[in-house]
Amino acid sequence: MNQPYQNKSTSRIQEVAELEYVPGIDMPDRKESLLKLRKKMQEQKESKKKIFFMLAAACVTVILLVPAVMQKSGDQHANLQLVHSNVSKTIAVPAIVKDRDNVQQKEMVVQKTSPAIKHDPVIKPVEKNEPVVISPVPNLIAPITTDSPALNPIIETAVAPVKRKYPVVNINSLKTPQSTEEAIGDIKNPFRRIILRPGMPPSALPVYSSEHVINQNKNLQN
Amino acid sequence: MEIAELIREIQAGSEPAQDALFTKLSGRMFILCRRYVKNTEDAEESLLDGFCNVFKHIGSFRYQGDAAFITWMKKIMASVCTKKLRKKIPFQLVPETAADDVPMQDDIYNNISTREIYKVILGLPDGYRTVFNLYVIEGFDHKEIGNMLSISVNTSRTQLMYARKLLQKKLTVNKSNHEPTLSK
Repeated sequence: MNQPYQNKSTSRIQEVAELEYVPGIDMPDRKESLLKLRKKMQEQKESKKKIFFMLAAACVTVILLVPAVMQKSGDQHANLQLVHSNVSKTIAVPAIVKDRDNVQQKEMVVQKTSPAIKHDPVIKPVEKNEPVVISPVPNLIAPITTDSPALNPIIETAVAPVKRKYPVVNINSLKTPQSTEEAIGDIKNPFRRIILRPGMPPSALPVYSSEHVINQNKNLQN
Repeated sequence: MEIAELIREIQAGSEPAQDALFTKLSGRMFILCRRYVKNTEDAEESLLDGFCNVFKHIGSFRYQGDAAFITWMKKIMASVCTKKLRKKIPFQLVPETAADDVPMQDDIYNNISTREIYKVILGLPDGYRTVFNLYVIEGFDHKEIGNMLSISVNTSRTQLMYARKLLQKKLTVNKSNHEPTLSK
């Protein structure tokens, strides 16, 4: 393609691009088109307004609804808790711990034999300053070998920091006397849950007296 | 009223200036839209959408002469038209025999009026015509055309090649018939 031809074709194409009127190809009616344009622009403005108002309404709804829903869910949760507490009171009875303020700070010295094989611990309350045999790990299972002296129970002597590790129990202050095993159970799990069912007398609690505070714990997980 | 003055007034929010600009340039823009869209009603709708876009974005336009403004408007119109066409264009390939073996003639555009060339362009298949319009007349490159029409660059190139061959053939036939239906 030589240069003059290219220039000529380009100029002809430019002429095509600059055409303002072609017979047979004309706008239907300019005034009508103008009216349509006005209408279209008006619709666009209105749709913008609609979108704006819808967004604003959505924002207001969210702002109003979210706290209401939160409050409602909170009420429902509180109602559930109330119902739950009415039906079955979950009472954490750390009776021994609660009682420690009332009882005299009498250190309990326990004697505990810790055999090499798993064995239920036997705790006997003894008087202060008596020698104590206690295993640091109650359920320790020591490896047993033929030449091991572990066939004999491992006896360790220590003074247990009862105040810190073991809650102080004043057994005599309890109205319902506990057996040693029950007391051990309480010591093992002082925060165990006791569910008070409707119809069950409060005296059914293993530990219940006016001196004891029944902790209606709000936090159900405790 | 001059275009520059109209633009200033439109930027200030004058509706009569919008009407005046529409009256001044709508014919030219309609011819452009018609080059893309065969149907007159669709072309008019594209024109109105294009003017809406022009008035919407004219606030950010910096006037640098009438030609620049018209070129900007043309690009907007072409973009609106291609948006409308995007899903409709089949981009079919005319069998090569229809476009091949067209003898290249240097004087192919001689003795043919611009309006006749315009009408021959209108007679091209949709895909060819759109790519030809965008590349040759509006000056977009193949990458831009590919983005506008959601086609690959190679498709755009191929469509343009076939469009040119077919156009050449049609112009040759028109010239050989010596029956220019329209005169400039």
